[in-house]
Amino acid sequence: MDDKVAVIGVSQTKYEAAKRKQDLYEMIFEAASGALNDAGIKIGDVDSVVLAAHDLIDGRSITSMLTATPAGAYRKDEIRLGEDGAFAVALAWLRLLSGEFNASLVVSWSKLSEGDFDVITSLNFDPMFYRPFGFNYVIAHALQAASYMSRYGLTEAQAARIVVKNRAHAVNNPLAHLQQAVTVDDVLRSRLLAWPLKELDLPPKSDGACAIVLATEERAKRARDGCAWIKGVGWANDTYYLGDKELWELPSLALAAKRAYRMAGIENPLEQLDVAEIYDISSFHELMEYEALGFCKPGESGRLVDQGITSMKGQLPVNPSGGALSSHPYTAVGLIRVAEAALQVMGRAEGHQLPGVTTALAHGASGMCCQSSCVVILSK
Amino acid sequence: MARRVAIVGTGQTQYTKRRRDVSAPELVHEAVKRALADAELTLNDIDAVVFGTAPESFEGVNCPDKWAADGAGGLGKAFMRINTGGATGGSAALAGVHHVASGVFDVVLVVAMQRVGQTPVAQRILGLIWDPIFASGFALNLLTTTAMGATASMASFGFNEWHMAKISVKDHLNALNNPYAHIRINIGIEDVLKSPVLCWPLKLLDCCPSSDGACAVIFALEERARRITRTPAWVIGTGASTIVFTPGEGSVEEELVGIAVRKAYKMAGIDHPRRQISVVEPYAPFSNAEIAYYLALGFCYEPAEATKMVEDGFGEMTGEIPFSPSGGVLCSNPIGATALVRVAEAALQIMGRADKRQVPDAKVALATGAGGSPGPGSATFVTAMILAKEPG
Amino acid sequence: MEQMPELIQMPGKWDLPWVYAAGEVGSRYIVELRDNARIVATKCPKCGRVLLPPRSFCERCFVSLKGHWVELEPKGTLEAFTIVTTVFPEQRPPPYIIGYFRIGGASTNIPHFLEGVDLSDIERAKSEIWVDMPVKVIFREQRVGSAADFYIVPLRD
Repeated sequence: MDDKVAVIGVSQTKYEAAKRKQDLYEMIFEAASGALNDAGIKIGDVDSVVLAAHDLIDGRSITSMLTATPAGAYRKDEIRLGEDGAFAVALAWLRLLSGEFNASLVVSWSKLSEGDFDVITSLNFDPMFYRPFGFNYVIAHALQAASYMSRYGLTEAQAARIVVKNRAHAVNNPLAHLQQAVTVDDVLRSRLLAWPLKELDLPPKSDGACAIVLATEERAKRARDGCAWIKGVGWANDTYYLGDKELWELPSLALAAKRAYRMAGIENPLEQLDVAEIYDISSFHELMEYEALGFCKPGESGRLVDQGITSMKGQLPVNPSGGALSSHPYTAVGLIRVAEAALQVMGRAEGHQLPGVTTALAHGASGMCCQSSCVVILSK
Repeated sequence: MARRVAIVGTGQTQYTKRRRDVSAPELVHEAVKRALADAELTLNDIDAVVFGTAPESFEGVNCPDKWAADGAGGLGKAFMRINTGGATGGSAALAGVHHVASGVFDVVLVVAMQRVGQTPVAQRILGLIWDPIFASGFALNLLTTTAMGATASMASFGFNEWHMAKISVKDHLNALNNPYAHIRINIGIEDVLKSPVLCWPLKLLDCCPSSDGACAVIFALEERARRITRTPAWVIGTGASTIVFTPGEGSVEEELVGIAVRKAYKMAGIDHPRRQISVVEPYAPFSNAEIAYYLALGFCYEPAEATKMVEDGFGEMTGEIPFSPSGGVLCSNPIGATALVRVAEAALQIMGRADKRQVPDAKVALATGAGGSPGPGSATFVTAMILAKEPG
Repeated sequence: MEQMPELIQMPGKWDLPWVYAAGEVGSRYIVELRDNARIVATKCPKCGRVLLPPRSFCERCFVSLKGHWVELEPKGTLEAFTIVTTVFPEQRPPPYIIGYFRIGGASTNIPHFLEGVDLSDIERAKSEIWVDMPVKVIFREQRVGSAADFYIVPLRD
């Protein structure tokens, strides 16, 4: 890409089970104003605000009516997506490339403590053909996990190793919701929800918000603490009906990655990427994502985790922040991945910083069973 | 904007109280098929899809865009869903423009859908959009909030229920020329004034219906647009704005439309709107809204003038600048799609395809969208898009 | 002759519970109403706007308002109103008046009902209410910790 857009500021709130001291708006304001401070700019310097939020997650029929202004949208050209936060980055990127805008806030959040996530996600399913069977995100993702396991013979222990890895990473992330390490045994003995998913195979329910500032080249070059350039973005949507596809693969992610890689000139991700922050909606899904992202051939993801290739000291560390398995303010997860990837590129990830990061991948997903995926490649 | 973008095709479904015969993906599919046919394109020509739909509580399905995506041609495509309440269709259209203007996509399909008829309790749902701690329990809904805005405007503009009725009659008669319109009834001023009072000063015929429907608009980059059609509708100005105020602090139209529209005018090089705009498709779900638009859009400079303009028939089909030749929002309101319908209708005017509702020789058309609602800490969103026969 | 296909219409219902956090700032407002029959608001140190109900930030200046409290006088003006004459599900039976009120000189208006107006003759009532009309706030004897712990009536000489 000739035109250049970069991340010049990042802010995250602490992720917690229930942030009772702040109402939803204050929590959003904390992240949005934090990102401006981090970027060294004022609200007047921003001419675009792109939000990612879900009405039902927020318990407000048009949530952005109430949440747009704490996110900095007063008198701004603002737009809200009903998608995972990574897609908001994609739209903000397009807006800046169009030449109409110079600097955009991108904000996303969730306060899962205020509603019932399980019931809400059950409402994603077709009322005629799926709802009579009580689908929700646990069950749908369990079906996918079981299907993947049975296709390739991966074991629950291998999936458990993903949890162990990510939770260990989170020990070095003071913002993470869950900051204690767990063992394979802890995971295998945790409460079985829907086979093969046990409680620890799934993310916690978290409150939290994240905001970043994107800017065009002129402004980015003046950024105080360096910046992370967006080298490639790709997103894609797959079919809605679970019965219409093979559950053991993630075609939307494969397509999104292909588009982002092509734009960023990445032909061998394992070699050319220094770190990846991906949406581990379950331990098994992180394994499936390795394949879709081209880190390994189909069915070989177990090897990556068994050999520590995706651990902090491995060839391609995945989720040094702890991932969604450690912090899960649902809607914001993909934006947090972009924020964390940017921090790695800028050398500002502190306790969980990897040495010598030049190129990072971030991934977010929307819809049930990763129906829609978005991949962002960032580099120095 | 460096790259020029144009609308090359549109499709709409007939708006109606409730579509009993289709699921969400099927409804969207109708509109998309029509837009593709209108532009003589296939799904292969579409590089990305932007999908707009507003509160899911109408649909009864969370993230209904994910469900409808297959019907919208979303399989394998870059796809994103926009939700800005009533402005959704307008925001989605702007996002479509940015998709193309970025240089990343050449041809983008924007689709918007709403099935308000899926629920019997639409007003109750709309009553839940305000702050749950400070505004619940006060019977706020769109009717009461609009009514309060109307009384505040009546005080400053000097219009009364008769003026509102005149606008309502105009819109309803225009709708008779629009095969897609939901409400198609032949009425007079007395009919409006005698219709049941819901929340004074709003009577039944001053208010929009709840409609099911979908709309699709295809945007293309200049080189492609010129190959696709001989009559592209060029996007020459865009703007959007988010603002917070409570009724009594100002009117939606003045405060909010003013900012977004002024930006669009500037981009389009419009400095004498009354001389340069041929037709307006405004987001006006209640009859009092159009009056405030005359001022907000810069067609006059004093509120009292706007009231006089109603008396003079400014916005009639035979008037100086026709407003809502399609019958407008007052006659069809598939909420999340409505603002995109404004864009589609404006495009039809520019492309000369508006049939019986065509404004002769329409050269420049303005479409607006509005979402959210005033209230404590509550934002309202406005979008504006200007289309023209010439790329400018 | 082809028969019209049967169109299945499936009923559904959402039963969604919520527990909204009022936050420290929102909580102080509610607690002051309930325990002290006082109306408090936050004031922006930059632009001077007084926000009612109080907010933890000013959306225009984009600064935090925590700690910037003011107490407001329990009277004000009617800024906008409507007389509701139709039944809305789960709302009080009509007729009733809802309005937006500027209380204690705040920069923002709050929604509330206007009580104390005889609505037996709506036409006549319309002539007794007008934009800018003075009103006063009366706290309820029994307060429960809600934005409705007071009610508003016309301020008559």
